[in-house]
Amino acid sequence: MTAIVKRAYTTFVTAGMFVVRMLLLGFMALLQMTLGGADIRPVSRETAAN
Amino acid sequence: MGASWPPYHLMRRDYLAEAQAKYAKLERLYHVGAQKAWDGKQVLGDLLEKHGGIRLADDKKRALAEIFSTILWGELAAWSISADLALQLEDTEAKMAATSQVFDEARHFYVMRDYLLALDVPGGLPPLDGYTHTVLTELLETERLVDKLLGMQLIVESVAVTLFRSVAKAGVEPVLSELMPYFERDEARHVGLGVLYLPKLLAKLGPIDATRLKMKQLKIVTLIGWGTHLKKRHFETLGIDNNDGFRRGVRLNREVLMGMRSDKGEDPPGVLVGDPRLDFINDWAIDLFFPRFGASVPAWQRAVIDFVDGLSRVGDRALRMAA
Repeated sequence: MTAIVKRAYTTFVTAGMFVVRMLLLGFMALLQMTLGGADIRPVSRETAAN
Repeated sequence: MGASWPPYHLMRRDYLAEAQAKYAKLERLYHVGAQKAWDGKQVLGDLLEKHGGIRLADDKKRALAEIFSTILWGELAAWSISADLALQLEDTEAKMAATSQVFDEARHFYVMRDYLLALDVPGGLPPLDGYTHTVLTELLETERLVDKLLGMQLIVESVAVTLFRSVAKAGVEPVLSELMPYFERDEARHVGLGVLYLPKLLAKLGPIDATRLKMKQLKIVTLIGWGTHLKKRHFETLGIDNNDGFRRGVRLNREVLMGMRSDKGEDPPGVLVGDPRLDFINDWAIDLFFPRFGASVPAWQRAVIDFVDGLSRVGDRALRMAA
């Protein structure tokens, strides 16, 4: 494969995987809110010293 | 090159004074790097002697090799990329910092190679996974300085720092645990080069280039996320908590981004990683995809995570086709 075709191919695969990940994240968030699951602990509230 | 070389302005006192005022910290990275350079052969040899070699069960050796094969080839890529930066950066102080990094990365590569050879992994070192291969080849092949600096210095080096801390903290293997702080100290300086010099390059970006750069970061972060799923069972074998590692990585990225803010507190254009507006997504993604060790995980969540782990192997195979 030439470099440009390789780049287009990996970008296409990665874009697909990004979409799948976001869909799965949305699905899991929905289940977490309805059925319950692991605690969601905001990183933003943690101190940098940790 | 002929007409503009040699760059006589490098000897002009007014230019030097201005450059020193702007980039004194970058020059310091070079001097600190020279002062803190360590003898890799000596350090690794002493640690192997101190601990009587590497004693580890075969399954842990294989797990360690799976994770550290990415580090080994990552160090080789960082070596080439820092050499590219040393060649292409125009400001002397930034060139000095990049040059210092070239020496560090060469040392990291041969120390990691020698460590993995001493580890004597049953079946040999596994090949590089498709996710890491894609990230590293893109950074190696791009001719854009800003992509190399942002991708390697800020994202890949930050991931490396986080991984080194996690491995040292987990106490996987005593030689490696004592070796990691040496690597980590050097990598922190490399992140410093990106933090100190990137704002100058980012300030020149137009809106199209800034968007392109954000897409590039999204691609790298997506690949790193899926790559972590692929290696999850190996992290678990070694007792490394990915939840803890991701949290540390997010905090580190935020600190890095804050270091690049202007005096007025404005974020530089084109930077996506570390943006506090993405905290909400990060919080949910970390705890849902990588529940912390010992957390009570319901059956539905375990089933989805297993499915995601399976998908990560499909993605790996798809990306390896382009390798």
